[in-house]
Amino acid sequence: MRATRGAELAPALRSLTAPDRVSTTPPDRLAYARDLWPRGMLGLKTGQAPAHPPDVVVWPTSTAEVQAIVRLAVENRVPIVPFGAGSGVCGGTLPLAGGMVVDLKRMRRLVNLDRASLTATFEAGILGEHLEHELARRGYTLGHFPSSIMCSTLGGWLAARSAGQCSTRYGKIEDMVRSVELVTGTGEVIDTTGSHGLGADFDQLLIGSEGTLGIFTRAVVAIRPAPEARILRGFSMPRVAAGCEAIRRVMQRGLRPSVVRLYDEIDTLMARSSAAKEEKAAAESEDPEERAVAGWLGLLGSEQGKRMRDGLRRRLVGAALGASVGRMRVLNRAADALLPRLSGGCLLIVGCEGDRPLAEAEARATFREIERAGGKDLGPGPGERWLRHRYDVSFKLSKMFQAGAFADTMEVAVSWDRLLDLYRAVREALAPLCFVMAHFSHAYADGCSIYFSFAAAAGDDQALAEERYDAIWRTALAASTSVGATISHHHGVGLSKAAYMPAEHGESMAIFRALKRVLDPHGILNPGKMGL
Amino acid sequence: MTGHDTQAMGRHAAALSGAVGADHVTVAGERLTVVPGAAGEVIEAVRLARAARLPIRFGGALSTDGASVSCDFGRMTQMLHLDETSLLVHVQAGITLGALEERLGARALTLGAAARRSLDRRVGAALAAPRPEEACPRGRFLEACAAIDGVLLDGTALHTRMAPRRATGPDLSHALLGARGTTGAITGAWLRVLRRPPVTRFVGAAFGEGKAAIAVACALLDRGIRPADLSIADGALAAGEIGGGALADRETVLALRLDGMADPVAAEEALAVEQAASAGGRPVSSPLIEAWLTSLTASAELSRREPRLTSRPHRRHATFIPWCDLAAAFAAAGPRAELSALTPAGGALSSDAPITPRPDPLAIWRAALAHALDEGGSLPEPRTR
Repeated sequence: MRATRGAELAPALRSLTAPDRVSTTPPDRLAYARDLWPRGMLGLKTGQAPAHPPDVVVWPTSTAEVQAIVRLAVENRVPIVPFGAGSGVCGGTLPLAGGMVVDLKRMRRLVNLDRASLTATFEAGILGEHLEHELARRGYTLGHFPSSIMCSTLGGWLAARSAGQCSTRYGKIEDMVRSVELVTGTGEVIDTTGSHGLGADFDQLLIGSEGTLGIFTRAVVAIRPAPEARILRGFSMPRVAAGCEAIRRVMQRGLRPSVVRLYDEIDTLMARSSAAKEEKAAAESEDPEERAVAGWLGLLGSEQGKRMRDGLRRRLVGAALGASVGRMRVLNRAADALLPRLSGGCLLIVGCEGDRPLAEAEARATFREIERAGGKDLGPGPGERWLRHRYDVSFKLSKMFQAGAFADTMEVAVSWDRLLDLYRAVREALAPLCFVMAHFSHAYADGCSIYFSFAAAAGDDQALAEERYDAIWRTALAASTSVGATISHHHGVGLSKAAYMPAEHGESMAIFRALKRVLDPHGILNPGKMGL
Repeated sequence: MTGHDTQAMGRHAAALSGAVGADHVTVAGERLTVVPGAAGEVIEAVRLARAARLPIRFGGALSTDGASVSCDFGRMTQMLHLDETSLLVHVQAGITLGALEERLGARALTLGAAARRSLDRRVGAALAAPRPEEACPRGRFLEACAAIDGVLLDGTALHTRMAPRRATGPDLSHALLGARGTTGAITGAWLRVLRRPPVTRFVGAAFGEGKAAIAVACALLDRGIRPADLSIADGALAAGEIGGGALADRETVLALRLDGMADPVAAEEALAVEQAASAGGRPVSSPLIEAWLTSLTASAELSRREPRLTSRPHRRHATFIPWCDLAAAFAAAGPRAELSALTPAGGALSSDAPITPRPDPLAIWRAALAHALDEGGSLPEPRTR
C-alpha cells in the first residue's frame, strides 16, 4: 500500500469534487489522524503528534462523488478511511496506512420523510443532534440518543452498530434501519431498498462493518411520532443482583421501558456526588423540580452516612488518580466492603414514554415489577436529573487526562444467566490494576450490557502509561470472554479490539473475510481494522 | 447433464453410509437423500457433495434439477438446552415450530406470535427461507434467532456467538439466515422465547371499506401499540371464516390479539376500541375474533386433537408489502384477501390468486457471497449500477 500516493491524488480529487473540498494541509491531516480512543490521548497529552496522519482529506457532497473517489483510490491502490465525526473510542478511523480520509459530514440532508410508512431517508453524514432536530420539528423521533449524539453521525452509527440510551424501547441502530446505500470498495453502489421482507437481511451483513466493506452514503430509518408523555423514576435497589433481577423481570414481561440504567454501588456513589453539587442550590430553589432533586438526595441516608460516603468518594477518586498499581486492589476491596454497609444501595433509573395512556399503563406495570424485586421508589427526581445530564459523559474524559489520569469504558453484553458472573469476573480481574465501576443499561429479554468505567494514574512516562492501559484492556477482555460475553455491545471493534475478533467469531470469520473479498477485493477500505 | 449416473450415485451413497448409517441414505435416480442425525453428519454430506461436484440442497431450500444431494433434517429434532433465566432455547434445525411450541408450552413458554402461522415448518427451514407471514407487530420470527450453528459450503462448521446484541462487525448469522441454503446449512439455532402472557384480549371491528381498516391498523402501530397479532380480512374472507351472520355484506374486519401485563393490555384495548370507533368501525365480538385468529395459527398436530382449530391448507400465496402500498395492493388483490403479520414496516398480503413474487434487488450480491464462501478465490465482478 503506497501511503504517500494519497497526496499526489489531491489535484484529481479536486477535479472530482471541488477545490475547497480537498485538503493536504498539516492542520487538517493532524485533525483527522485521531479519534477519541483514550489510548491515543495518552500521546496527545504529552504533545506527541499522531503516528498515522492521512495524506489527504476530502469532503464529498454526493454518492456519485463518493463513487468517483473510491474508483480513483482503486486505480491508484490508495487506502480510504471513511469518517463521520470522529467520536469513536476504538481507533476505528485511524489512517494506519495513510491515504485518504473521506469525511461524509457534507452529506447531511434529510432526503425524504414518508409519513405513511413512518420512514425517513437521511444522508449518512448528518450529525445525530441535527437528525433528531429535523425530525422533532416535524413531530417525529428516531429514538436514538447515544451520549455522543452531538459529535457522531448516522453513518458512524451504522458503521459501528451504535446504541442509544433509549434502546430498550427503540432498539439499536441496526433495529431501526429499513435500507441502506453503500459504496463498496470497487465503487459500486449497493442499495438495499426493496429487499426488506424478502427474507434475508443483507443490511445486517453491512451494518457494523466499520468502513471495511464500504462507505455508507444514506439510509432509510424507521421513525415514530414524538412521545406524548415521558415518565421517569428513580429506585434504590439494595444490591446489584436485586437491580438486575428487577430489570430482567421487566424485560421478560414484555414491557418496553425507554430507559433502564442500574448503577453499581460505586457508580451510584459517583452519581450522588455529582448530584450533591446541585443539592445546595436546589434545596433553596423555588423550582419544584429542583426541590425534588434535593428531596431525593435527602433520602439517601443520614447526615453521618452522607459524610462517610462523601469521604469515601474523595478518597477513591484521589487514590485512583494517584495510586500505585499495588494499592489498587486494596482500594477496590475497600470500596466493595464499605459501600454496602453504608446502605447507599444502587440507583436504578427507569423511564417509559409514548402515547400518554400507554406510557402511563406501562409505567405502572414496570414500577410494580421493580418494587416486587425490592426497589424503593425515589420519585421522579433522579430520572429527571439523569435526563438533564445524559450527554455529559462525552465531555468529562478530558478532565481526567488533565488531572494526570486516564479513563476508558468497556461495554460488553451477555445473557442473563451469566450477567452477574460477568460483572464479578471483570471487577475482580481489574481490581489490582485500576479503579473500576459499572452500570447496567441496554437491557433485552435475553440479556443485558454492562458498561464498565475504569481509571488509573497515567504518570509522566507515556510508554509506561500505554503499557498499563493495554494491560487493563487485555485483562478486562480476557475476563469478559471467559464467561462468554461478547467483546463489544455498541462501541465497535476498530483497532483496539481487532486482535480479539478471531476468538469472538471463530470459524464464522470466514464469512466476514468472504464479504471483504466480495465488497473490497483490493483491500483499500480502512485497512488494518477489525482483524481482517 | 451432470454426468452422474445411478451407479455413481450408489457409490456416493455407500461412501456416505459409513458416516451416517445405511438406513439414513437413499438413492432415487440421480437424487441422493441423506437424513443426518447431527451437525457432523451434515458436514460429511456437504464434503461429499463438494468432492463429487454435486449440488446440495437443505431442508426448505430451493430445489435443483438433475443429480443432487438432498439433506433432510427430519432426524435432527432435539431441544438441546433451555435457559429459563435468559429465555433462550437451543435446538437442532429439524424440530418443527409446532413440536417446539408444545415442549415450551409445558414450561409456560412460547415462541411467540410470529411463529404461529408456520407451526408445521422446521426451525431450519423457517430461518433459511422465511415467509412474509412469519411476523407480528413485535417483529419477524427471524429476529427471534440469537445465534446459529451451521455448515458452510466448503464443509466448515460454525457457531455464531450468542449475545443479546453486539457491535463486533456484521451480524454474520445473516449469511445463512434467509439465504435459502445457497451459502450453507443451518444445523441448529438459539431462539429467544417468551413467557406465556398473563392476560390476552381479542378486539375486532368491521369497516365498510378496506382502506379504513388499514388506516386504523396503521394509526394503532404509530401510537405504539404492539399486538401479538394484527390481521385484516376482506369482505369475502371475513364472511367465510369469521362469521357471515355477524357481519354485514362485504365488511372488512380488523382483528387484534393483545397480550401481556394487565395494565398495558387494558390501555391498548381501550385505545384500539376508541381508534376503530372514531374511524367508523363497528365492534365484532371477541369470541369470533379469537376463533378466527386461533384458526390461522393452529398446527396440524393441534388440529388433529382440536378439530375446531382447522388449519387452513397452504393454498394461499403471501407477499410482503410496505405500508405506503398496502391499501392499493389490498384493494387489487381480489376476493378473499388477507393482510397479516402487520408490522411497523408493512405486512403480508395473501389471497387465493397467485401473487407474482418481487424480484430480489440484491440477488447478485447474495450470489457473489455464496461464490466467495464456496470457492474462497476469485470472483465474477458484480455490477449493480
